[in-house]
Amino acid sequence: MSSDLSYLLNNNLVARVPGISQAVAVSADGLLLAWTDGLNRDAAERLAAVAAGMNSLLNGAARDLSAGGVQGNLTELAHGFLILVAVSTGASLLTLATRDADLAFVTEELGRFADQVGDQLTPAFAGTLTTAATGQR
Amino acid sequence: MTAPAIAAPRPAGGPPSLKIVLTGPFGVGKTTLVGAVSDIAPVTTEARMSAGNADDDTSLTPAKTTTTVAMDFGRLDVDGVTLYVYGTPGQHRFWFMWDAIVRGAAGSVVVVDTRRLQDSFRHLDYVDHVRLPYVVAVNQFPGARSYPASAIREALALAADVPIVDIDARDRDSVRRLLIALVEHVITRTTPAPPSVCT
Ligand SMILES: Nc1nc2c(ncn2[C@@H]2O[C@H](COP(=O)(O)OP(=O)(O)OP(=O)(O)O)[C@@H](O)[C@H]2O)c(=O)[nH]1
Ligand SMILES: [Mg+2]
Repeated sequence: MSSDLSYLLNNNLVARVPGISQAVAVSADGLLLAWTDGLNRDAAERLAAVAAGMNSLLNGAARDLSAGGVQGNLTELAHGFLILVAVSTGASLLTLATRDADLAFVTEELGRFADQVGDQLTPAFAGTLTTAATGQR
Repeated sequence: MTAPAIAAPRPAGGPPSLKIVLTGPFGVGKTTLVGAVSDIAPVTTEARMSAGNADDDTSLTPAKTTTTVAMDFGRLDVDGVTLYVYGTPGQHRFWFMWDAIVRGAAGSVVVVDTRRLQDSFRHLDYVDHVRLPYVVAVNQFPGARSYPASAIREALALAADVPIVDIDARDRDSVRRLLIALVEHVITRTTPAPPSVCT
């Protein structure tokens, strides 16, 4: 888990971009990398798994339609918008925006943020195996 | 606006974690298993089954009314290691998701039902193909004959080192034992044997 990345989600997205209320950063393999203060960890981990699953489902649709890879997804909820932004590495940001948010502005800021932090959103599970192996012995 | 200083790559701190993929044919008990063992409320993507689809034969599991349409997800702690369990959907039409679900996984559980072992062949082929260490979980349904591990190993043509574990997918302790067996198997498969001492 990255506290630096969580700091950036809190300060550079939630605090700075009007309309963004929560966010999680997710590696391509569905590992929660960072989350905002308003979420508890269990919920954040479920959201991370859902983000990875959404990415995969939507890419399945995109393949059948020969329409290129998924770059993002917008889901309208009764009380907000759920915005998925795919990062080039396969990672993603899943964000909750308020119902009255300026979606064009919000998605632009999310794209900018994703470009900035892209390097930190690399697959992370594989690297933890050695720690687990040594921790067990 | 000036770009913030981007932090260094994630430190390797925090508890060790492993991603585990749970696979097996339609209705073999994957969602039940995740629900039984997860320490948190799992992610479920169940949908009511429509009647009359040949892909959805529930004659062996008459109580089944829903099927997984994307994945299962749960988390548990085993001996200080956090396990993230991802279940694949069982039905053929969702197989395109498997590659994404196994990404980053350290090991896999293939669930089998002794009344239809052959339904698990493709799942075994798949985990072999992606070179994931795996254990075979034999979900004991009521009325199903129980077979010795040697018979199951032979019927499924499993390598000698693949653990075979009998489970009740509804029972937390039983599923925990299964996952502990998997973690141990993953560790022995990925930890090189110490070099033998030459004199
Ligand atoms: N008796 C008994 N019933 C079980 C067991 N495990 C699962 N079941 C039942 O079998 C049915 C199928 O279980 P699911 O967990 O939905 O199976 P699944 O593998 O997730 O199925 P799909 O996602 O549709 O592929 C359900 O009605 C369960 O209640 C078990 O260990 N014993
Ligand atoms: Mg299921």
